[in-house]
Amino acid sequence: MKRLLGLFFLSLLASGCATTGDVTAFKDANDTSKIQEGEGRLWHEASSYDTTIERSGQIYEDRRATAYLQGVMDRLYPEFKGKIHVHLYDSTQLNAFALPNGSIYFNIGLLARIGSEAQLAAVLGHEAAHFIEKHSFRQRVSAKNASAFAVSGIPFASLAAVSSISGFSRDLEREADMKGYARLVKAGYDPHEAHKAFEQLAKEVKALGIEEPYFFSSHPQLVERIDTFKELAAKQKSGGRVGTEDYNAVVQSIRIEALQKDLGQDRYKSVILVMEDSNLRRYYPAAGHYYLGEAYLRRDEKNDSQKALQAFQTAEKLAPNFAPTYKSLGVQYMKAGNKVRAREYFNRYLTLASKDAGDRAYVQQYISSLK
Amino acid sequence: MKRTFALPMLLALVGGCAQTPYWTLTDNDNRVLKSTSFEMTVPAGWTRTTTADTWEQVKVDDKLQTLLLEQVTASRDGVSLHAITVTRRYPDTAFPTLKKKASANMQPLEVADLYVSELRKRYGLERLRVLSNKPAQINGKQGFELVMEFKNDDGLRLRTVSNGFVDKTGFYTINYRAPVLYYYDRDYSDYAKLVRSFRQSKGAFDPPPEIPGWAKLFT
Amino acid sequence: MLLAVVPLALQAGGTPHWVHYKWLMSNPTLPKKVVVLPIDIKTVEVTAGGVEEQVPDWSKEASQSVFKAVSAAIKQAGMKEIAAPRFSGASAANFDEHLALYKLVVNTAGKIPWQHKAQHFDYGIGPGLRAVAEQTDADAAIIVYGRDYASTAGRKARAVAGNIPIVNIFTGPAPQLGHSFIRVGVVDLRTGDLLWVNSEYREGSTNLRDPDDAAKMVNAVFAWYPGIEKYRAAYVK
Repeated sequence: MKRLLGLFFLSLLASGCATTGDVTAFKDANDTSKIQEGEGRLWHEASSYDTTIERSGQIYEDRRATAYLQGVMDRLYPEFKGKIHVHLYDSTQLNAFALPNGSIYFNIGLLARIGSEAQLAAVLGHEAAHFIEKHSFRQRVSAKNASAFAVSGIPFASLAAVSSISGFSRDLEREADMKGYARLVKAGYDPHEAHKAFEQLAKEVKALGIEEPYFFSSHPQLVERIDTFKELAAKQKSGGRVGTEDYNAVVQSIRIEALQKDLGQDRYKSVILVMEDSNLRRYYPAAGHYYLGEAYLRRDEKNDSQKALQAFQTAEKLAPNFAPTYKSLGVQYMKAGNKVRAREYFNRYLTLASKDAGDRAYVQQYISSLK
Repeated sequence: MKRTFALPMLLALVGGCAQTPYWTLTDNDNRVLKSTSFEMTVPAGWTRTTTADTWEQVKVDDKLQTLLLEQVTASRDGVSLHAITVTRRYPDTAFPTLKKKASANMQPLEVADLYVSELRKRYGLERLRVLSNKPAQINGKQGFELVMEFKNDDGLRLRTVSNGFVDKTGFYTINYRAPVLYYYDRDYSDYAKLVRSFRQSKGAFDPPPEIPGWAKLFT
Repeated sequence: MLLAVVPLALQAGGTPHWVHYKWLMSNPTLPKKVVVLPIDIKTVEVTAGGVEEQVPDWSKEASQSVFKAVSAAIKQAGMKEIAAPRFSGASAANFDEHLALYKLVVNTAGKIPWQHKAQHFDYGIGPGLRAVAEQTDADAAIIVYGRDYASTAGRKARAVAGNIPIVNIFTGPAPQLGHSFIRVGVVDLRTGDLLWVNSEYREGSTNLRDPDDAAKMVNAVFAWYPGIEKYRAAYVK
């Protein structure tokens, strides 16, 4: 009798369970208005998340860059124009994520790292594929089914868990890679650029010993993706749009701001990694050497003071109108006891810096103390 | 036997139960808050801690660590709404998530920059903005005044003003956090008076206390 | 001498509601015309495994039911309801931020740790919504928010099974079933003073989409309005 009762209750638990086989991908923009009730609930949560992101000031405001990214997305998925919305996310972490309602968020940190429009398209193509293939809904259905029968009943299907914020299952990530890659080729981008976006990420994850997944992949998974994209590209002829110049023109100012933000969050290792790599450094304005100098000072290992001084001197030579360099040089000379040179640099800073520059009052105080 | 044993036990228990309350409402008799390392005058009408907290737990590289500090808190309406906190961190653990120490020869600008990075890293607050950062004098020592702001998930602007300095005994901060709407301006002058009244005590130069035995598990 | 600040939770004889100290003075001016700001009730469906999903249609339904109940309760309490204005642009941003502040203030006040704050309840959100008073001629705003947790059939089955020995080895212990919560605040639009706050929490099968259930909860809240003498007796000795 008790066994029968148990079976009865188990069947009740199972009665609400859908299967992921019932879920079909969107065909085009019109299709996105025909969603099931469960999908509607996810969309609603996603829209609330959109509101939270906007309200809490996490959108990075740069109309030109945002329009540029949206343009690339619309080129990749023309039949979904108006339904997939790209936003810049104000974080220097190397990430991008898609919400179930078609909102795609691209971190400025990742934007600063990649090198061409084709690489950008590889990432955007991947993210949009998550939305079109309804990976969020599939993952939530799986989570509900799994948790219904888990005796401990720990839920894990919050919005973060079913969007690409935290990453999908390996199979869904692979599907997004394949679908995104196909779009990249169809839109006329050079397929040999796709793996490069992930190569830089893999390098940084390894060099910095980062344990948490970046772009939802641990290092081994990133290497696997790079190999997959290389294999796919090997079957294609070279050629197609790369868009390096257009890309760099748009993200130039974001790159320097990302360096500043990295430093402000103690990610000095990332700054050093980027600015010490000649392949990456060429994408950054000359003022990047100033941030390299500050990163050396923050790292404070053997010979870093000397390296910092050299970096500041390079910044002075290559970006002579960048005011913060002179403040840092002044501080270096002040600490070394060279009052004359320190005063020279501090005065140069005051000449170049704007009237409301944050460090002005400190520099004026330094000058007074050097008299 | 049981009865004669029970009475002294009971007396001992009752005697040990007379505890100092954690919070006290400041009135004219108790406006001066004296802690080991510092003292200050708390505005009337504010509620403050009676004794300093002497340790905190901080996640460093995903591991929880127990670190010594000396911290007192005051609030008029409740600490989840607004609060003044006065903190002394010891030199070796001044910026724990950055793994940086404080030293007396650090420039105030350098200390301020480290403090902002520490706050961003400790609280995962990438979006913490610095509105202003200027030199300040606290208790006759060269320091900084930082004004920082971020929006919470509901879009409410929360502002923190921080006056701080470093000397050989550690890193001191006097912070006031409040919503920008209504509360920040309403109580800023009380905060400013408290900062002006701040004095370092002789106790600041005593050796730091011992970490409690249980806390060493997390150190 | 250290004035001990006794946590209110340790005191007996408290009330569930809070009353601004201005109302404790002789001849308090109670609001006559009020705007009911958009009601925010979120309905969440919880599965057997504890997965929570907001249900937008149900949330809308629950908000409408609670709104009707609040309108009736206001009338009963002798107040006149004024239509709430619409906001856009900068005024919408200002309004939203004041609502966010209200949420923080009322959550702090709701857990008042200190007796003197109950004796002299002086919380507020500042005069930033004065323009609403000027636009509508209302004295005060009624702000209502709440949560309504509904269990799926599977979760209910699990709750029943969880109480049956042997069967609960397969299904796990009985999970918590539905519960509902609403909080109502009256805010002076000119000064921002939080004049009166009360909340109601119920476990079990309360369903805020149901007009009768919504009315029962709202009436339980307003049963303490304005409750000045009860408040004075409890906190002001």
